[in-house]
Amino acid sequence: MTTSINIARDYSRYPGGRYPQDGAGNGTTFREDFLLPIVRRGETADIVLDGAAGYPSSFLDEAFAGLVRKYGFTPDQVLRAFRFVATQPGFGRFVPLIEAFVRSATPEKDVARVR
Amino acid sequence: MGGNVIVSALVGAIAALLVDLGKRKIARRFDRASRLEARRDEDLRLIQVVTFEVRDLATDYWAEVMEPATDQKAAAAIVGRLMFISRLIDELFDGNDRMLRRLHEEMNEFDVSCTAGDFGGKGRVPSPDQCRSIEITAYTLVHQASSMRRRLK
Repeated sequence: MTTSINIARDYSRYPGGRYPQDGAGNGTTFREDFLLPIVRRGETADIVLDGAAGYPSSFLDEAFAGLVRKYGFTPDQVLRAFRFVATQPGFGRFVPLIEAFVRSATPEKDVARVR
Repeated sequence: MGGNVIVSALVGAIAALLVDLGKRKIARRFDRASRLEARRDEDLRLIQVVTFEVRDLATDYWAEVMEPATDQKAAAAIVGRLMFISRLIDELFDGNDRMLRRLHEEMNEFDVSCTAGDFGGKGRVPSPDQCRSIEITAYTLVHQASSMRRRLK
């Protein structure tokens, strides 16, 4: 089953920051509430990037690459789970940026890889 | 005799009309082309100006940690302007996939140097390394955009 997550509509029009203490729109909360359930259930989702005010790298890295670092999913598992939708001018470049963050992430020391 | 004069006059008038139409058509084409070039030049100028604005804002941001309200305002200004540069790049190089891909890479390098680490975070610390990286990637982006714009047909 493929669900659709529109970041601007369903989460925040102003995504930013890594951790919950950084405020609403942070990457950790988005990862835990929206992305993690999808990957855990082995489902797929369309992630609509359009409509937000912008995406700081710290947010994208924490939200997407955090699935590799904190939970041990492989980069392939993460990237297979999500299809990115970026149709508005200016948003297309975020797709390769997210992919690069995910591909360069490695699980943190005490995190076992998920097979 | 009189008939010949009228025919000659008519032919002359039609020829003059055709030449005039042709001239107008060519002028319109040149006008369209020069308008397109002017628009491209203006897009490039804005890319340069706003990239250096972001560079200034981002180096100030990473040089010191400010009051929370000022910090948030600076972060928002950086993210908003980065988005604006992205849009300009997408519009200027629309339809030129190779150039666009290359500029997305440079834009992402610049973006990462400005907004990676603990950008937007409450516990961030000043980062001279990030300031250095911002300077380098800003100039690389501007240079690459200028070079690609010259290649636009």
